Amino acid sequence: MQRIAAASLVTCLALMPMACSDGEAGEDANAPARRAVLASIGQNAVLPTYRDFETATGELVAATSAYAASLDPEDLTAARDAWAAAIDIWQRAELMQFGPAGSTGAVGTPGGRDLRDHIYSWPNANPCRVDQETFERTYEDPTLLQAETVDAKGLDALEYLLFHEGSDNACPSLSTINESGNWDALSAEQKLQRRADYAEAASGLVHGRAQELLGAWEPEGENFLHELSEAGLESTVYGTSQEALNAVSDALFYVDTDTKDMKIGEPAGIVDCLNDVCPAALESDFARRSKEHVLNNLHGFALVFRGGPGDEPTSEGIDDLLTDLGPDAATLATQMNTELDEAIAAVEAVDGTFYDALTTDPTPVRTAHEAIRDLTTLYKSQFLALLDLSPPASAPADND
Amino acid sequence: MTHPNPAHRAWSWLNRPFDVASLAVFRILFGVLMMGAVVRYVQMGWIERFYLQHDFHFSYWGFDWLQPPPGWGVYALFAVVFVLAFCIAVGLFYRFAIVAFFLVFTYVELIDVTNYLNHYYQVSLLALLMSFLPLHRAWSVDAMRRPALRRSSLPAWMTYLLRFQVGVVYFYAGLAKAGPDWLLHGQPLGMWLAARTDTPVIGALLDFPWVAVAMSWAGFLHDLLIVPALLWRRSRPFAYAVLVVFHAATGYFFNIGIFPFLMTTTALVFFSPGWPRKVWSWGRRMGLGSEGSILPEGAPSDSPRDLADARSRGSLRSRDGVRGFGVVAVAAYCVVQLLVPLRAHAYGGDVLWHEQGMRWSWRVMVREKQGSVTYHVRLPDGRETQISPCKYLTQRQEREMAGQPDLVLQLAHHIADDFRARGHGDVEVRAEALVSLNGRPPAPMVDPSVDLARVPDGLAKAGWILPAPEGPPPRLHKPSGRPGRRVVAEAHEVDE
Repeated sequence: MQRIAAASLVTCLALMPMACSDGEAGEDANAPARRAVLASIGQNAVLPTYRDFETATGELVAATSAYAASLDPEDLTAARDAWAAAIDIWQRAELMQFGPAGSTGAVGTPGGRDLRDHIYSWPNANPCRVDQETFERTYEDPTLLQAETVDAKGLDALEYLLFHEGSDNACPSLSTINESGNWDALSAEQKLQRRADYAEAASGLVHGRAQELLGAWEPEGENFLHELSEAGLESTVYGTSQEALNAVSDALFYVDTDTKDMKIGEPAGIVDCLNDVCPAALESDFARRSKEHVLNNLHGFALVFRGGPGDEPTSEGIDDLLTDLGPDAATLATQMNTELDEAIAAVEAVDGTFYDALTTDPTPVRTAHEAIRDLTTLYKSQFLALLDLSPPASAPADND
Repeated sequence: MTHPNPAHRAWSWLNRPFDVASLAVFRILFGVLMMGAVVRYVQMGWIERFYLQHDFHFSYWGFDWLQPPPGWGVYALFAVVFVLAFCIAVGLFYRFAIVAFFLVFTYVELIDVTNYLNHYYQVSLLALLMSFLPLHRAWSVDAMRRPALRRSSLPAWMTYLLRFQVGVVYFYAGLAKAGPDWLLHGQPLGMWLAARTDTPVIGALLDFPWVAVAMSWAGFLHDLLIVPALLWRRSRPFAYAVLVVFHAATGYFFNIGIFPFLMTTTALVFFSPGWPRKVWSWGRRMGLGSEGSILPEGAPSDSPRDLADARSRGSLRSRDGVRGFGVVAVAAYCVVQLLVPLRAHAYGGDVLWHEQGMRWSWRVMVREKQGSVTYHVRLPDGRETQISPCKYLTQRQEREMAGQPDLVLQLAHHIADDFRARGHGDVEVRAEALVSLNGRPPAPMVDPSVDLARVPDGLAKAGWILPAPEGPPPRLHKPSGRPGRRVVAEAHEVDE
């Protein structure tokens, strides 16, 4: 027994020199480098995006109010433009679902509050539900509308309310509003007015969530930026900088599962579609902005991966983290940046909307899918390996 | 008096009485550890995530007949495992409990290949061995209830057998590290350590490449030498201290669950059979515990007199027929345990890449694989579509599958079955699997021209698996300061 105690002491003493070396490595170590990248992502990518989105949703509220007050087609156009401006920003923010925007629950992200789903719930979109609430005028009481499911009050509901033309509804004939004849009993003008009022109310909710999200991140607010930047130090959310980086990496997976497969692969007849094309699977069915959405997703990926806008000198991205690891990893960083630019170029090369392209010549859309896949293949393989990151919802498991 | 026949001498040597104390403690610790493992599994929500969140389960070759129970059934199985582990720990209905534990635990582990862990395999093997060992003859409820059951000693071979089982893990885990990636390039340890620089005190050291290489060698030497060092009485205490530090460190750095606890507790079997009694005496000398003895009535200490007494009272003796069968069975078991980990060499190539012979061979934490797999399905009418694995798998299953060709094949078969069930007839399924091994650029792991739906699963060398990528893994440097960081530091000041 005494010998075991002595042996343990000797072993601990042998490790002491390692403990004394902490100060020597200091600033050049990986953890500070990761924190610098996380800080840059928060400072240069997330906060500006959320600030822009908060502003854009404020303008959306003003535009939908004006439209609800006038029902003027010009005001409708202005409201649609305001919606487009807001969703363009949000599609970039889709790649930033770490922290308060992220989901809660067992497979959620640290610090998640489900705010994303309240702002934009796709692929959980439900136009029929929106029509039912339109008929029931739930929107007249913001508290009631707030309590509705996420598919009845976010930017996807707004798309339907602002872009769907015609006075029909999206519900099956056997649904209550159709079977009872209640929907048909409304005049076209009543339906238009109700949808406009609904849009105004929903815009208000989205704006409220945008403010909440921004407030959660702002240094003057709850300062989640600090949680991210100080991961492993003062953060109460992220125990280590690696954990925070993994949360960011998880969020970037959106470009593989959602952007590549669901937004392009399925409509283009590549993934899980046995017809030549499946345009019904396009994301933006009413505003026809699926291409812009994909493009903004890629720009969002770029913002996070590069730690901010590419031309921003303070940007410190995950690509820099790779570059710092040596020539082999730097090659991967360069390769991923190239693939990212090529993916953006491939989407931009699609003429007109995705819908137009799919119904005429789907080849450019498929080319765009291939280009994104080249990027995500690198991401899911060597990138994760070099930075020792885990794919989403797979991290907290044992290994050996 | 020594027997002139070497076989008899060996038999006598193997059957000489060993104090029962060590194996009784082995049983208790094993049971407690398994109880803890079940509690942890439930606490982490893993029953739901690993068994219930998906409909498709990867089966082991030859075990595809084994179906998972319904949702409540999995919870019930874990509850049963917990109760059985408790019974093992306290020695209640031990014979039934350990056999049932082996069967239920192994069944749970066989439900899905993606849940395979080397230490679960070790648990199953230990439980199998314990099913044949009467470890309840001391310090157990059974022995308390039935005095006739009590023994003060057990034959030495029982201790040796458990030592062998523990030793095999270390030996082959060490052998598995004898490769250029591990020993020359310090990978994948380098990547893993570089991601753990938040570690207090020593964290800043972990992104130095030499640290990864040094630790790789330390791990290699530890695994190869720890068993001889534990067997030699003089080095044993030091070896065990090193073993504890080693497992504490690996347990701290990596998500390896109960593995460090399993190995540190089971390695106690290398100590002299009476070590619990010495610990007890030492504790009493240090003022811990009462003056009374925890030893059951009749249990001897390690003194020659007591051992002689044990011998005279007779430890376990068996009839010649049973004895012969037992010897053959134990010998066969040991041979199998020695040969199974070597089977990978029969396939040639890099086992870390093709994974044929990877499981059951104690290649613990020696590779990092991340990959992207896309299936291309061609219908009989010529139509084609791509299928993402996430349509059938959880993210965790997908991650595990991406690096294991036989699982890629299994899912291909499942996709073909699914299309057939949906009325599309016999489809062709090809896989595009781009995989990074130990940080190398992604390379195709599976021949994308092969229709996997027509490839049978089996143990033969798989021609449809492409050769491993050549060249060394990437060499990672310690990060150097770059101007951009200064600006970000200023941003921090703004925050404050």
